[in-house]
Amino acid sequence: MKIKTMGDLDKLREAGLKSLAPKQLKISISMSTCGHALGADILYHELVKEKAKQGLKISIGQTGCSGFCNLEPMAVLRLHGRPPLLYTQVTVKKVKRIIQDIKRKKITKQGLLCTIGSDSVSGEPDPALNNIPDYKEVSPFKDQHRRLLENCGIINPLSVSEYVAMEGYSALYKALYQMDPEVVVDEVIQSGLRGRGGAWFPTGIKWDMARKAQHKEKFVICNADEGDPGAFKDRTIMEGNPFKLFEGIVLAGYAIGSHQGLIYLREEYPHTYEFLNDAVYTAKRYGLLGKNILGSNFNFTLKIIRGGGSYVCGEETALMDSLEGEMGDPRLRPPFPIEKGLWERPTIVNNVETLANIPHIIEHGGESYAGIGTEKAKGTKILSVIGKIKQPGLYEVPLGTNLEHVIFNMAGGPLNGSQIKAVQVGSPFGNFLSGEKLDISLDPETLRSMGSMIGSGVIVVLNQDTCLVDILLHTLSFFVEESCGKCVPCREGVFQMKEIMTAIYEGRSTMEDLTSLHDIGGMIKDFALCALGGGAPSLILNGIRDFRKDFEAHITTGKCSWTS
Amino acid sequence: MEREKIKRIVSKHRHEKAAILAILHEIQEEDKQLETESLNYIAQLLKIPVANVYGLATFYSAFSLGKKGDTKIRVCSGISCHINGADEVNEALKSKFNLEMGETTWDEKFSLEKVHCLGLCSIGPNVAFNLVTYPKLNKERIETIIEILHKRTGDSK
Repeated sequence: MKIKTMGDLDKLREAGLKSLAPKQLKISISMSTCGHALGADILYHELVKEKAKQGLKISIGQTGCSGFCNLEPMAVLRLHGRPPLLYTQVTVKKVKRIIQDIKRKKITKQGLLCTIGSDSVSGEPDPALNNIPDYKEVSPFKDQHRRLLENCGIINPLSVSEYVAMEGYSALYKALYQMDPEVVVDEVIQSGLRGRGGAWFPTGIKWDMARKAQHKEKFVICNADEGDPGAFKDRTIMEGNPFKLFEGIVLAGYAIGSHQGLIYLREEYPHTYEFLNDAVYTAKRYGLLGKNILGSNFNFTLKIIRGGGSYVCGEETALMDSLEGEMGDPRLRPPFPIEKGLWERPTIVNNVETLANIPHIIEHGGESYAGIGTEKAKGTKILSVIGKIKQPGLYEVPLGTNLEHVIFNMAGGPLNGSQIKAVQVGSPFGNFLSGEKLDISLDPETLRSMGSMIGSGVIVVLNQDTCLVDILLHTLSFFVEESCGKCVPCREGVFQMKEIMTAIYEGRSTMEDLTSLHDIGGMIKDFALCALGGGAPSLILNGIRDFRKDFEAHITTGKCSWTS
Repeated sequence: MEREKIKRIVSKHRHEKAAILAILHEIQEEDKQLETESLNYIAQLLKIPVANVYGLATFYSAFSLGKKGDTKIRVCSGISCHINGADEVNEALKSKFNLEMGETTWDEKFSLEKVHCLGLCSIGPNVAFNLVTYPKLNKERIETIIEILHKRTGDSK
C-alpha cells in the first residue's frame, strides 16, 4: 500500500499502535548482527516451533539492537494492558519458562531488566510490576537522552507502521506539504546540528550551499563506512531503525533539490547490507522512496552501495572516488563536494548519525532541538564506550555531558573494580587521557582545546594492566595498513614510526628512538595530505609525553613496567 | 571463472564502470578469488585499462587475487577485541590451521584474514566464519569451535 495522504498515515499509525500494544501476547527477539552472534536466530526458530507444538496463542516478532550487545539476545514481551517488558540474555530455556509463567498468570522476574514505558505504548500502572523499574531509571538506559536510539530495540525495524506509530514520517509529511526547501534548510541551520562522523562541520551550512548550487542533478550521500574501530552506532541505527535514517535522507534530498541518494556501506557489515536492501524494498512499497513520495510531487531514489574494506574511503572525497569505481584517494579541496562532488555534481556527504537527527529537527523545530547541548555543539551524541568497562555499549547523551559521569555512573566504571589508567576519547585519533583527567565536558570544543578530538564518539577505557606502548603500536599498525599510499609522509613516514615503535615494544631500542619518533612525526604532521596521515603522529607523540614511564620501561627492560 | 559468467555479471550492471566494485564483489563471492584472466576480461568488457581493474582488486581488502577458502575466517583486530585478548585467539587459529594471516589451506576449505573491526565491540574477541560470527572468544572456545568445524568438513591441516 502506498501512503498518499494524511489519512493513510493515520491509518498506518493505528495499525502500528495495535502492533505495539497487541491484544495477545507478543514476544519480539532482537535480531541485529550482534543478536545473531549470540544465538537470536536459534531462539527465534525454537520459539516458532514451540508455538506450533503447543498451539500457543502468541505472536513472535523481532526488534533491533538497543546498543548493549552483551545483553543480547534481548526480548520484548508485550502483554495486553501492560507496558512492554524487556528481558536480557534470553535463552530458549528462559523463554519457555516465561511462557509457562504467563499461562499461570505470573510474570517471570528472572532476566527481566525493566518495563518500557514509552509514551505511545504505555499501559496502566500495574501492581504486578511494582518493583520493576522503568527503563529510564535503570542502568544502562538511565541518564541517556535517546533521541536517535529511542526506537532501537523496541520496534520492529522493518515495520513501517510501528515506526509511524512512534512519530515516524510525520516530519517528512510536514516538510513535503508545508515547508519550502529553504525553510527545511533554515531549520537545520537553526538546530546547530554538526556532522557526527567526526568532522563536526555545520550540517545546515553545507546543505544551504548545496541547495544554492545550480545544477539539474545533485546527490545525497549517506556515509555508512563506519570505519573507526570501536564504532558501531551507525550499524545500530541502520539495523534498529532504518526508516528513521531513510526519512532523514529523503529530507536532505528535498532540502537541497536532489533526487538521488546513495548509502555507502562498509564491506564488513554483510548482514546490514541484506537488511538495508529489504528496508529499501519495503519503503518503496509504501511510497516512501521512489516516485511521488507520500503522494507529493517529490521523487527520490535510494541505493545501497557496498564498499571494499578500506578505511580511507570514510573520508568524503575518497568515498566519492570509490562510488565512481576508483581507488579511494582523498582529493585536494577545493573544489568542495557541494560544488563538484560525485560525477562533478553538487553533492552532500553526511554521516548516518547526522541524518538520523533530521526527522527530529523538522518535527520539533531547530530551536527546540538546540535546547540541549553546549553553546556550540547542540543535540545528543551517541558514545561507543568500550574496552575494560563493566557495561560496554552505546550511550546517547546530550553533548557536554561529563566524561566521568558517563564512565562511572552510566557504564559502571572499570571492569572488576580495577583502576582506570587511560581513556581515549575519539578513537582512533583522539589522545589517551590519563585516568586522573576525566572531569571534562564531552563536546568537540573542549576536546579540541585539550589538543584532542571527540571524533565519531568512540571512547576506549583502559585499566591498570594495559600497556600504552602495546595499544599505540596496535593503533599505528592500523594506520599503516589503511594508508592509501598516495602521499609519501603517510605511506613511508607512518611506516617508519611503526618500525621504531615495534623496536621499542620488543626492547630493541634506545632513548634516542623517542627523538626520532618526534622528528618523523613532526614532518608527517606538516606534510600529510589528509587527516589519516596527519593524525597518526600526534597520537604517538602525545602518548610518549603522557605515558613516558611505559615507554621507558620497554626501552630499558623490554617489557611493561608492572611485569616482573 | 568462465567468461560467460563474468559477462552475465557485467551485463547485469549494464556495463557501468561505476559498478565495478559491485562486479568484483560478485565475482569474488562466487569464484573466491579474482584471477588475472577475470580481471583482463572485465577490463575488456568495461573498456578500461587492465591496470585500473588490477589496482582496485589490490587496493580494496575485500578482494583477493589468490583463492580464499570455502569458509572465510575473518578475525577482528579492532581495539576492543585487541584489549580483550584477540591475540591469543589469533595464535590459536594460526596454529590450528597452520596458516598465516592472508593464507588459505591447501584443500581451499579455510582461509584466514584480519579485519579492522566487525562492529561488535561489546562482545569481543570476535571471529566471523563466513556470515556466522562467534563472540566472546578465548583460546579454549576457539579451539572447540575449530574441532567441531574440522569434524564437519573433514580434515584440513
